[in-house]
Amino acid sequence: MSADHIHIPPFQTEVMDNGLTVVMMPIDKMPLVSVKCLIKSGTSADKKGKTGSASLTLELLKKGSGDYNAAKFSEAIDFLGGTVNTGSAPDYSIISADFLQKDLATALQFMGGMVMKPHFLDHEFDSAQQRISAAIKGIMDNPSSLNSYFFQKLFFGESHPYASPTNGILPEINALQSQDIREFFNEHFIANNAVLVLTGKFQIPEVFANIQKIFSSWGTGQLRKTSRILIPVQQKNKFFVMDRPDSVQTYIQMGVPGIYQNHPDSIPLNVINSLFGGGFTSRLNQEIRVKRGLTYSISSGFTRMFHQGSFAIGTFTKTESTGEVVQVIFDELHKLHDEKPRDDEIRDTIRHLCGTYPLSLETAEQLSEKLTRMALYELPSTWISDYLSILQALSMSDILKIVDDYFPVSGYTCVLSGNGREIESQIQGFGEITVMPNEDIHL
Amino acid sequence: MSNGMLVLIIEDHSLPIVCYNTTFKVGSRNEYQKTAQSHGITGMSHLFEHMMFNGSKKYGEGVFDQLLEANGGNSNAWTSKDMTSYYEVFPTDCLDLVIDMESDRMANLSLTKKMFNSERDVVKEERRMSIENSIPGTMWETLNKNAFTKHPYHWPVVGWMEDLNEITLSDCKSFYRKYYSPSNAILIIAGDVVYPNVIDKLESAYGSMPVAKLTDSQSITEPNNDGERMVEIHRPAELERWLMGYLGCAGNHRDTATLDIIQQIMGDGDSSRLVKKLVHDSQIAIDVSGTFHWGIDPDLFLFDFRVRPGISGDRVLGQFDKQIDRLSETLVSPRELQKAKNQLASQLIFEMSTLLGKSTEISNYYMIFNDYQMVFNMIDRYMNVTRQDVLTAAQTYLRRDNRTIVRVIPEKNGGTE
Repeated sequence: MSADHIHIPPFQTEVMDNGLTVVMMPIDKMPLVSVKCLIKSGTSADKKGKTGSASLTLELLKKGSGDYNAAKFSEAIDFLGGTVNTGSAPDYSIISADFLQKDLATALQFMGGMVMKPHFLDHEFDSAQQRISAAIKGIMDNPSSLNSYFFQKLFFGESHPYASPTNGILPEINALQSQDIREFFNEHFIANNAVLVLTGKFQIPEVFANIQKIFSSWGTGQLRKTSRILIPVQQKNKFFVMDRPDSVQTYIQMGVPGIYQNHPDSIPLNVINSLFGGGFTSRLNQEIRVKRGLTYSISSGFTRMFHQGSFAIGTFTKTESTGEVVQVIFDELHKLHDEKPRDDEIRDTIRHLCGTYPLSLETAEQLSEKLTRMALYELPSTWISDYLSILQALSMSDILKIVDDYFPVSGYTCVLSGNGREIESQIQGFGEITVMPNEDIHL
Repeated sequence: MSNGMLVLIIEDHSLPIVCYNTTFKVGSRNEYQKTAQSHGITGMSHLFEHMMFNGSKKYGEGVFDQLLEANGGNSNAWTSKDMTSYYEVFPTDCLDLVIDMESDRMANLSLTKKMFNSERDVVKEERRMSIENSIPGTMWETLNKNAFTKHPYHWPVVGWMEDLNEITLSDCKSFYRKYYSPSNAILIIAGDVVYPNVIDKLESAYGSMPVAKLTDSQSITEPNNDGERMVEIHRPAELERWLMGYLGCAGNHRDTATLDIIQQIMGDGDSSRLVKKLVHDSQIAIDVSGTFHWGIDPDLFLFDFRVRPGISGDRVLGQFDKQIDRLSETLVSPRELQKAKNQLASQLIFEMSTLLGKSTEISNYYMIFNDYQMVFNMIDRYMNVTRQDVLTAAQTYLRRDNRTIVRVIPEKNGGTE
C-alpha cells in the first residue's frame, strides 16, 4: 500500500469574520452527512472544585435550545432518523450530528441552536445532574471502568487537569449549580474557540452560504492560553490494588509518561508500539494470550493529547494468574531492550500500519474525525494524506533509537482491581504496594 | 458455486481495500448439553471460531494472522446463537493470499492438542470477563437460561464452564467435518475487486471441495410460557438493574418488521416512549432500552433498565408495564409510526456505509431469511407496517405471561440467586 493508492477527498477551510473555522469535505459516496462542532475546551477546563462542568454543559445542550424544548428537540431528530451526540474529553467538547444528506440544512439549524441559544432550564439542569450522578455510581459495577477511573487519577496525580474522570468527581458534580454551567458555556462556547467540520454529500457554495447565515451572529471572546504540563518520571514501580473481594479476575493497567500530540516521535512510536502490544500478532498478545492462554485481550498504547499522556498496558486475567501476567509483561519490556526488534519485524509492522490506514478513511464520519483532530491540534493540512509516506520513509535507525526512551522497564504506576488478598501475595517484589480496601473505594 | 457455496461480489473502488467475509450457518443452537450418557459441547461453535486461526495444511500455527498483518490486513471473527462469521480487511493486492488461506482453512484445518488447550484457556478467560465478572453478562445468561427451557438458546454462546472443561479435541474434529463445508457458508467479497477476475480464482480454490449433506439438525420449538418467570440475583452492586425478555417470532417471520418498529417506538432514542417517561419525565430510571433479537428460531424481545438510587424497582416496573399496556390498547399515532420507519431506514443506510458493514448485514439477512435479497426489501417491509400491525403485535408478544424477568438486587457483601 503506498500513499499514491489513496485518494483523500479535497477539503476547504474558511474562517468567518467572528473567528469560526469551517472545514468542508464533500464526499460523493453514500447519501449521508456528518456535522461536528468542536469546542477547543474540555474537561481539563473545568474550574477547581467544579469537575463535571464540561460534561454537564454538553448534556444540557440536548435539553432545549433555539425554538425547541428537550422533548421537541429529541422527537425532531428521531423523526429524521438522525443522531445528535454530545460529549467532552480532556482537551475538547464536541457535538456530532449524523444525518441523511437531505436533512443537512436541518442538522445545521439544530447545531446553531445548541451552540448559540441553549435554554439551560433549571429543571433540566436538576434532572441531568441527578442522572449523571447516578450513572457515575454505576462505574462501581463495571470492573474495567473502575480500574480505568483509578488509573487516570493515580497516574496523573490529583492536581493534574487530566486526573478527573470525564463526568467529574461525584461530590463535586453533586455540588454544581446551574450558574456554573452558564459560566462554562459563556467562557468557552464562542465562535473563535470553535471549529465546524462537515463531511459527506453536499456542495460547498450552497452549504457555506447557509453556515454563514446561521453562525455569523455567534459571539466571540477571549481565549485562554495553556502551557504544556509534563509528568514527572518515577524510578520505581508503584502498585495500587483496589480490593474487590468478589471478583474472579484482576484488571491490570500500568503506565509511564509518554508523549503529547504533535510529538516528533509520534509515528515511529506507532511502529514500536504496534509490534510490542498493538495488534493480534504483537509480542504481548503472542506471549500472554496465544502461548499461555492467560487472557482474552491485552494491548498497549500511547495517548496523544495537548499535555503529556501515558504509555500504558492494559489487560485482565483470572485472579490466580495475576502475578504471572505481571511478570511476563515486565519480561517482555526487558526483551524489547535486550533483543531489539528485527528488521523484518519492523518492516512487517510498517506494512500492517500502512495497509490498515485506509480503514480509518472509509466513511464521512471517520474523515470528519480526522479533520476535527487536525483542527484541534493545529496539525498541517497534509496530516491525513502524508501519514503513509512519512511512515514508509522511516529508517530502521529512526525507529530503533526511540525504544530506550519510551519503553522503560520500571517506573510504572500500576493499578490492579480484583481480590486484594490474592493479588497482593502474587505481586510481591515488583514494587511498592498500596492496597485500597473495598469499603474505602469511593468515586 | 457448484459445491453449494453462495458467493456475492460487491465492487467498490473508492479505496484500495477489500473485505472478505465468510459466514457459516452454525452457532450455539447447533450444540447440545450434558446428558447422562455424554458430556455437553455448549460453547463449541465459539471455541471453534478461535481454533480457525491456529493453522492449516499450507499455513502453519500462527501463520494466518502473521501473514495477513504483515501484508497490511486485519482479521476477526464472531459467533452468535445462529452463525459464525470470519472476516479479513486488507489491501487489494493481498486478495490471492487471502483466498488461498481462507480456502485452506475451510478444507484442511490443523487441530492440535496444544493449540486446543491454549484456546480453551483463552475462552474460559473470555467467559469470566463477559459473564462471571460482569453484571450485565450474568443477567443475560440467567435470562436465556430461564426463558428457554427446551430450545438451545437456553445456554450462552460462550458455553457452560463445565462443558468447556470437558470438550475434547475429537469433538472439535467432528464439529469441523459436520459444519465447515462450502455448502453451509456464504462468502461475500466487497471492495476493490473485479467480478470476472475473482470468480475464476474462487472456483479454483473452493471448487473441488466436496458437497456436504447437511440438514438443519435443530428442530426444537420452545413451548409457550406457562406464566411470567422471575429470577432475582442478589450480588454486590451499586445499582439495581432489570432485564426482561418476551418470546418473539423467528427472524424470517413477517412480524419481525413490526417488532423492529415497536423497538423504535418503545426504547430507541430520547423521544421513545420508555426513555421519555421513565428517564426524563418521571426520572425513576437512569436508562432504558429495548431491542428485538433476530434469530433463525424465535428469540427474545429485550428490555432493560437501571433504577435510580432511592427509587423502588417495583415502581419502575409499574411505570414500564403502563407503557406496554398503552401500546397494547391504543393505536400509535401516524407520526410516531413514521418516525420509527424513518429511524430504521436510516439505520440500515448507516450500517451499509462500510465494506464490513455491508458484508455483515447481507450475511445476516442470508442466514436469517435464506435470501440475501431481503436486505434490499426490508425498508419496504418497514414502510408497509400499519398502526393496526403494531397493536396486534404488542398484544401477541408483549404479554406478561410471555416474559421472563431477571432482577439484580444490590448487596454490599456476598450474593445469591
